[in-house]
Amino acid sequence: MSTRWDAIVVGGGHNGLTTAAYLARAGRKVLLLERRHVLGGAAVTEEVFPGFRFSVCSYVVSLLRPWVIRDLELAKHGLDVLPLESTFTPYPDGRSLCRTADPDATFAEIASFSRRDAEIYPEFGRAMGKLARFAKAFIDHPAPEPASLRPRDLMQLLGLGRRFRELGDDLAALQFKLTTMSAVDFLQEWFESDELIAPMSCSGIIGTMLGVKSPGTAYVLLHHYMGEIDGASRAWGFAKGGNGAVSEAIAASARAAGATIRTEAPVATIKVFNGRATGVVLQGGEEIDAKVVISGCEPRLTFLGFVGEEHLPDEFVADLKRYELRGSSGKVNLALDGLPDFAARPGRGAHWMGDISVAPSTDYLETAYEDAKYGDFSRRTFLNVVVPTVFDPTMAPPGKHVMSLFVQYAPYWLKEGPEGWPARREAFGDAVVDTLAEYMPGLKERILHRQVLSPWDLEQEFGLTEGNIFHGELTLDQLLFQRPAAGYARYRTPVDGLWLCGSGAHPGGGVMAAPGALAALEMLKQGAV
Amino acid sequence: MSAVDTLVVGGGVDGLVAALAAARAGRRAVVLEARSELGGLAGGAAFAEGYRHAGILHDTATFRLQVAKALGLAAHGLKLRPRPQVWAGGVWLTPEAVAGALPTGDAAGYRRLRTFVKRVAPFAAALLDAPPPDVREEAPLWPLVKPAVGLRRLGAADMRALLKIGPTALRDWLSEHVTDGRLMAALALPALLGTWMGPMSPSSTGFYLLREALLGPQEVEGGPAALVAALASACEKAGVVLRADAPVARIAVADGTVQGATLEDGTDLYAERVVCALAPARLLDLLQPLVLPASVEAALEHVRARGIVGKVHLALSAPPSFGRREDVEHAVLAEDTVHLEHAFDDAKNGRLPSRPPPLDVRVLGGPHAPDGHRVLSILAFGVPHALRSGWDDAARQAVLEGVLSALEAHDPAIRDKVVAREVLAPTDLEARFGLPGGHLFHGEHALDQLWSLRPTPQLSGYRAPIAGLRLASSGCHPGFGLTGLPGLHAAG
Repeated sequence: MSTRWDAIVVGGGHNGLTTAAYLARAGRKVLLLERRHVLGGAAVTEEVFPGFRFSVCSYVVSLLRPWVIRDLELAKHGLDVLPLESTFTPYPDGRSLCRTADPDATFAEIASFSRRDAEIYPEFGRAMGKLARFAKAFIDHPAPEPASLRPRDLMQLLGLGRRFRELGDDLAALQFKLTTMSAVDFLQEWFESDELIAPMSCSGIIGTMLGVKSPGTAYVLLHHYMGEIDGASRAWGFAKGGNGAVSEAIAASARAAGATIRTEAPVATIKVFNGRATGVVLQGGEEIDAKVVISGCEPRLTFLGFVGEEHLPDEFVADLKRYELRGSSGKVNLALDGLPDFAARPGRGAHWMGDISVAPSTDYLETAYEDAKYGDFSRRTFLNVVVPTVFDPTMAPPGKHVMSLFVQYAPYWLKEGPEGWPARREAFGDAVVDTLAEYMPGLKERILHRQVLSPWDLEQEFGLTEGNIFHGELTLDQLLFQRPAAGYARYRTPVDGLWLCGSGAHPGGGVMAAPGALAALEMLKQGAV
Repeated sequence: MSAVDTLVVGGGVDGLVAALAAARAGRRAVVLEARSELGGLAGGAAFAEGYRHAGILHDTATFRLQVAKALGLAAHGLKLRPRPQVWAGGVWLTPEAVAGALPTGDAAGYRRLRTFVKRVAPFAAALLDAPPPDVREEAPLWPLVKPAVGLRRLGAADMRALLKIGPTALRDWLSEHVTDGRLMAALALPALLGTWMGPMSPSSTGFYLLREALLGPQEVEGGPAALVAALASACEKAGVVLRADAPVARIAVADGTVQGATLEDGTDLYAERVVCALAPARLLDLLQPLVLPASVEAALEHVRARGIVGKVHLALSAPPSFGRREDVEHAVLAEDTVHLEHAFDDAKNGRLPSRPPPLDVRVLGGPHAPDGHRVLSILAFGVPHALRSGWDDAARQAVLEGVLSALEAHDPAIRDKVVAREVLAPTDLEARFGLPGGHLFHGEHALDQLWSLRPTPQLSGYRAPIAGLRLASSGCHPGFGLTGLPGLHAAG
């Protein structure tokens, strides 16, 4: 190929697309290469069954950075986010809890379990909101670099230190607790009712191979409060047309800025010459050169799969091998003939207008983790369910519905090894459907089609190493300046001219588009491209 | 009774250290111990005719030498001896023995692990030995500079390694070095005793490294009981009044200043300073409500102290024969890290151990048992304070049965040697020693209950926001039981 590209982006997930869009808008000649026939990576909408369209993997929008939406003019390019209005939890004894944006209704709902908790709930939200504003300083900027002595880095550290102190003693202590405690221990300092603590705690375990009682899980609670759509704090949203619509809007923005996007163009190798990335080789043998290569793929796949150990420092290879992926979740997508009722709350109403948590008690969640800890999927799983057709009927034929079930735990590392998954997949799907059917008795009769994605399937189909939805666990030792490895948290890698822009880079996963945007901005600032 | 300078509530190691340090600084100190014997968890006691244990917490290798030196304990009979090697059920925890008994990969890995631990230990020990800096808003930032500089001094590679592995699960880190299950479990277990974690819990590696940093090459000859005896003797020499059977009902405070203490028999004692050497959460009982700021009370209520260790004492008519050896003094017996994790799961879920529990065993002879006889001092991991079915004799019997089964795997004749036994559930430890949650370290070792946050940010400097009231307990920095540091810092 004769065209000389400024930059090649490997992987057309939402972060790769974001990087491509930012670089193209800065006037660079950008080529993006996607292995699959469809863009989006794990933020993708596909017609899995005729007439039924699914957000196959990620299924809600919450942390998509508002400044990225503005910079890339995503609304103009078709992004429309509909708010998720409630979180509903049914219990086996026939009671249920529906939390909405309406403070009075939510007070009454929680008060039926504990009046004290109902009174504290808004106060908790305010405290978490303040911490979320503090934490945003981290996710909207490149990671601080404590090992660096450069004035710019020291100033950043000092600034963060000052902001931390400005939180005041109580909030600073709270922030520290949040970073180190388990979700359950943390919430138990505030609330007494396990029925409330359980569904709140489970946002701490999403995507990690940890339990709600494992130290360090409280941190991810904050993500829930950082969620925002166009500045409206603390709201979850559903992209009209599914999460693929997010990727499509970013792709449209990139194309409009002049980026070239190729699908069904799987990269086999990132070419390294004299310690510098010079381009890529596609699986068909085609070689494409560029000044820089940027990978939106997971770091271990990028370096050990595409680059090769021989081009990397030993210490970095050791860090990559230590990098924990350990996928723990699966996805079940159902095509439904109609909407069944919840035993605990028959009929339609606010409780269908958001996400539904099957998380009846903290012991239930911990037991689900214990099953996985020893190499099996949970017999009774934690589920986070959304029914997109309630918001966007175009996702299914008239009168029909699609239902998305995020399932934990489905450990990539089964006792018999990940290759045991194809044989266990349907049994896992049955366990998931059985779990939900306990709360929704008419469910099974309504199922027209079922798609079951184990972490092994996520790896095979979407290139998510070990099925980890965040390209690496969001644990304390893999965040900030250590994501993905100490010394390489600023999107730069040990290979000159090779950069990272995926969720395995700071600040991590969750359909934020932050790694993609920050990587591009950092490259432009450094004059790398 | 005439006024004294310093009242020390609680005659455990930290209480005695605080009183002695105060006396050596010229103060008149009185120690008030609720029980009839001094020593708290370090005190030895007879549990059967002719058999004594040497303390509930049986390890003294964490007792800091600088405390012994500062208090001149050598002159009062404190003798040190090399720490006995740990027997891990078939293999001794020494580089040479590991090299002889295990595959070459494990031998090299074990050496690598020990080398790393030794390299970072001075940094960790410096953090643990010094009082924690005040990290509150109005405090200056400069005390934080020293630890930061210490961290940088480690060199970039070790600093990065420490930050990387500290928050991780101990099983993951150990398995980067060694493969043998017994070896991994024996390394892990002592670090887990103070936590509410299994080896698969994040941050358990950090607690392994911190404990290793505190372990000296020597321990007190005669165990914790001998340490208490030396402290008591030194106290008496220094003029400290040691009062046993003197339970305190109330620490008296007026106008934000401590006034003294009231005993349960109604006696009022006046003092300008009171050192509370009990678990910090006990302040909630000992102080009138609202004496502490509400935020401090709330923080104390949130101190997590969920005991998951039971104590068993066995009197044996003959030495145990662990792996056909009779010279084992310290054994850590667990099959592998999954065994430890299962034990934690059981305890976490409020169940009795479903398998024979992992054990940390000290074998005591000499003054503790008649000639030729032995006492086994056993810490059993995975015995929950919050047993869902409730603690009764049947539950204690089940723990004993589990312990005997675990020992039987190494000495098939152990049951025949047992002539007397004592089983202490965490609830028994709570009742006997006033330990909230039956927790042996006055508060779990957890990242948010360490350093300037132990026991709470407001109390972490061994001082309460009440003039004259101080804290000296393992529930303060640095934790880890018998270090003597909280007592020394509280008196300073």
